[in-house]
Amino acid sequence: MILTIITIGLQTYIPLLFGEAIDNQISNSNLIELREIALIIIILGVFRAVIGYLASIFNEQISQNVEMNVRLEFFENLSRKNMNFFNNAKVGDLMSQGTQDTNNLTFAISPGIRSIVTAIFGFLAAGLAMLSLNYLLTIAFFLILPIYLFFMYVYAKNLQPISMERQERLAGINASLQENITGIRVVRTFAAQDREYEVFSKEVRNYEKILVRRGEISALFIPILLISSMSAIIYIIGVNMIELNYIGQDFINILGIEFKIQPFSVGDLIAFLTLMGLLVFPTSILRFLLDVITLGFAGSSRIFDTLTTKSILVKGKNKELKNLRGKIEFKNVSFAYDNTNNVLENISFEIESGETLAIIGSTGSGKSTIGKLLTRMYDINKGEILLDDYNLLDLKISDVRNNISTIEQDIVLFSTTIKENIAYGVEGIDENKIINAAKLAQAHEFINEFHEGYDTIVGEKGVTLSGGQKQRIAMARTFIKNPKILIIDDSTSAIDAKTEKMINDAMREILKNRTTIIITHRLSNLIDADKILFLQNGIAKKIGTHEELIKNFDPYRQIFSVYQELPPIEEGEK
Amino acid sequence: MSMRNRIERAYFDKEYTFKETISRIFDLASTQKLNLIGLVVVTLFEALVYILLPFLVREGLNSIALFSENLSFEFAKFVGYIYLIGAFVQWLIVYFLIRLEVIITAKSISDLRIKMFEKLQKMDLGFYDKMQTGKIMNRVMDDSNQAGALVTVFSLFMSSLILMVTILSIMFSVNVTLTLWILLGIPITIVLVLIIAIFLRRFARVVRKTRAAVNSAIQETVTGVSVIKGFNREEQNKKDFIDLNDKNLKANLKLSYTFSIFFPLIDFLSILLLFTILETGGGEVINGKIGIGDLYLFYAYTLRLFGPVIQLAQQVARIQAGSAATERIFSLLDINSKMKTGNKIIKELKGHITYQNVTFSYNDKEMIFENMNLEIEPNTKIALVGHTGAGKSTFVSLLSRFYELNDGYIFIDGFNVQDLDIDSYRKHIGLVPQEPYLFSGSILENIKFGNINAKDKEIKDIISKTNLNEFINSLPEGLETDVREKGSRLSRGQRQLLTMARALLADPKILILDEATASVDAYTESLIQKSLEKLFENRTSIIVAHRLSTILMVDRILVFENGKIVGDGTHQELIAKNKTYKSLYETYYSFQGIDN
Repeated sequence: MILTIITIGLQTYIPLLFGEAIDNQISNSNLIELREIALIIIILGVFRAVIGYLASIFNEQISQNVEMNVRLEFFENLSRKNMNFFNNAKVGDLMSQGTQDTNNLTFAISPGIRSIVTAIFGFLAAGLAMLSLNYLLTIAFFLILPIYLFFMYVYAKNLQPISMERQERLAGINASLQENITGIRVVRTFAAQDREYEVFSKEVRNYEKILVRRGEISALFIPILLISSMSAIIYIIGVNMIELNYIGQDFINILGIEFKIQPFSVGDLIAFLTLMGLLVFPTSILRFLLDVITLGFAGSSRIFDTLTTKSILVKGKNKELKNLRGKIEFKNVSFAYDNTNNVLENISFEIESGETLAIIGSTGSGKSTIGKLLTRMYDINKGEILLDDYNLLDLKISDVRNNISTIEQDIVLFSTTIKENIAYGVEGIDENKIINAAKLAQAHEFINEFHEGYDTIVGEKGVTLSGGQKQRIAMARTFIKNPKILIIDDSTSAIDAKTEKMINDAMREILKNRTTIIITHRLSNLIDADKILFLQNGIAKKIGTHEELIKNFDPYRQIFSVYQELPPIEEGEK
Repeated sequence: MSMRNRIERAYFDKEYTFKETISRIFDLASTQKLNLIGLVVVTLFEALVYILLPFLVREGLNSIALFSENLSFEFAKFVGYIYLIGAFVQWLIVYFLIRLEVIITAKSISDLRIKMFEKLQKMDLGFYDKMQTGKIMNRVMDDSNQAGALVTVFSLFMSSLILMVTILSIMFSVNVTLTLWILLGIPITIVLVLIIAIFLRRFARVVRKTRAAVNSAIQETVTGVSVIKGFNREEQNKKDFIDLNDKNLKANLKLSYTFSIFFPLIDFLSILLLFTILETGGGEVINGKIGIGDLYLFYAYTLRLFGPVIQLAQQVARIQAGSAATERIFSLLDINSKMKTGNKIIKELKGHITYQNVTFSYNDKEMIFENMNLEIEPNTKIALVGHTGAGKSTFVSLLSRFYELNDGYIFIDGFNVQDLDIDSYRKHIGLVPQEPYLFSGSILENIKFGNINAKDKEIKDIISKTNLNEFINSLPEGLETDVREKGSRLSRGQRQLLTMARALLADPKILILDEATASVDAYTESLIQKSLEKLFENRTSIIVAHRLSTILMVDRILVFENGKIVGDGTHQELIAKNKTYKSLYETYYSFQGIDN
């Protein structure tokens, strides 16, 4: 900042010397002194360049650090949000906030603030320099300052709403492009490319219109008009004063007030004009920056929106969890995703350490939600969840998640090697353990069929793998983590029966001493379970073993009546 | 362990020479000829005003210089008024200039984006399997931004050149010695700008790379959030993220340090010129060769001369720097979709399918199918069974024309599918995929995705047949409920039912269900089973089966094993004589049967 001001000071002093040289040395034909002044000018020039450079370096450091901190804050904040937030947000939108918006913000800070300082001090310095030449002209000069500021104020005010709209539209394009790409199979299946094309073109063109509108406002407010016309006015006044000087009159009457006219020369006038010329650059840069700054503010308000959106998980006592036994208890738990419709209503059940609970229920009855509550992807609205008799809210979230693994319905694999996907969550694991886990999950065989084996890179979200293959990699991933509590969410539905049987056998081995919640409709899983929870519209209709339910719970029996109609094995394979 | 050691270049990226880049940008610019010509005209006007104003002032100043012979205050004042008017004219011209520039740039960016999007709609799915979403988006959104700005370069280039020549000739006409001195500065400036540009380009590349890593880290955090939370990777990811940001910061600083040299340097150069003007020009004035006003003229012109010089050098640098972006865009536009397509359109499809010597591989290394032959009669119900990875989904992907065959033919109603117009062909196909993908928007919009003109009655009918009415009625907003991105508001089973309804509403002649009800509970499935049977009528239906109930319902079962069809027949036939099928059946049975 100080450096910037020094730079400006130097910058302003140089034209003064220039004018001085023209008046005195040239007029008096003093070549030696002219040289001296020229030399001083060049030395000052070197100073100015060096100091200017230092100033901008400091400035860059500050702004880059600010940007990084904003991004880190953004990132950290994202990881503290609950899943609801992610379900509501659009990926493309979050992306553009995390990248473009933070970028604009820095740009606003870095050259932005510096240019404001430069422009303002440039004005002041030029004014001071002028004052040393001629006070009357300086008054005229300072008259434009409020006009200029008002000008810029109106400009920024006009630009603000349109900048906000611009950022939103841009995020909109991002989001729709993203959806088009991730949903490309659906788009293709329904041959909806033309429609998608139309929608996208329309969005892009709308965005273009906004850009053009912004450009229009921006062009209207270029400060060139102000600077040039001011130069012209100064010139006119200057010429008049020189004339008066020439005639020998040393008073001028403006609005009845008499002003004394100082001696004024052509050299002075040139100095004035050069000083005006110096202002062209900072003022036009300032205009350009206002442009970016409004974008930056539009961006930052979007970022702050994200940062301040509630959806933060409750911070409890952060109690450490050691040697979890794996007892789970739900006490009158109610939960709603959006505070209106309860997905779970007054659910209570208990699972002893090492037991298996199977959850069955129709589509949308809240089965998957139970697992998500246990891993604290969301916080419950009412009731209590106890883990080893501790309130779940009091425990350290990372400890809870370390001890619980979920094999989800929608498998997310990261775009890296199979090996790294399986070892996700553990650092520095040896290869044998990875292969063992893959074997347990019945994945070893198909992995080896790839040319690059475990080093095969799976595409984004693992699209080159079949559904069943993805699930088995996800299982291997869970085996490596070796959790105390395992939640299996219908995850074997895409695996054929034979493979599933193999996995199940392996699982039985692994499930020993583990508490398991399994969401399933498969009979074998249900029979194996210690308890079955029958959910209907978020209400626990019945809890009991398979035998108990099939005997005296009609809805449960109904589900299996479908299978009752199946032909028995008649060809004598059994 | 690094999760992000990614290859920078995509598999289809090509290199373009400077000449090719220029001619491509020229092509792009050619759609806006009128605007660009307008831009040139306006810039020339701007140049004119730029040159005239200082000239005027010089005349004025010269006329009042104290040792001038024809001292004329009247003339000097007159110049002042012209100057004032000139200021307005200048503003007007600059206003139009900026407007035009913005219009041209914005339109070029849009054009590029739309072109790329259009291309993306034609690419085969293998392309999407290989390219990350974030990387594709980068090309469409960011690279276009850089490349679009290049379009105006041509006009600016021309006007810069004209401006330079004019200014120089005026300067020469006033005083040769002084002009020659000043000219010395030009090559120095050009060399300096170009040298800095080389460094800038180098550092900019590092910045882009580190930036991309930061972006994909954010992307993965957002898309993989449930896994990250589940595996407690938050701390580690944060550390990684800080690390990536650190690298990005360092690269950024390096770039901006270099960039910061630029302005002070130019500044210093202008001082140097001031020095020259004073030193040499002052001498000339003393010698009486030029007037004092000329000194001002030289000063003003030198400033104006160096503007275009710097601009020219910058534009060359910009084309070079932008060429990374243009290269990525042109590569994307130039890549050919692997899909072969003709323009034949079948209005009424019967649904007869023939696979003849079909050979296919995703990566040209591991063959999925080799010489597969198969015929499916119209209006039959086919079940595909087999282990995971046996090729069932690939089989239907080929039929849906997601990928191009390596060899062999698929005939539909006797026509080679490669001769058919691909979109009109796909309209006959209804695929309910394994992954139930929904778009953000209302349930209604999603159901109507394949048939936007569907009538309310048809929609109601489909909803009740897929057993969705109870669920939809339970929602406060009913059909207008926003399912959110990827349908994340709904459970997976609900999503599957919706995708089923969506496919059925489009009323396809060939219906493909790829484990379409795997996440729907058995009870619900049994409820829709009967209506499904009705919906299968008059269609060729291909069902990748995961439940016994399905295979009992179909006319014909195909048993897949390692990319081969090892069994073909009805359930009774296969159970009697096909070993693979028998063992499959047994495991299915032991899971799904009931023996209490």
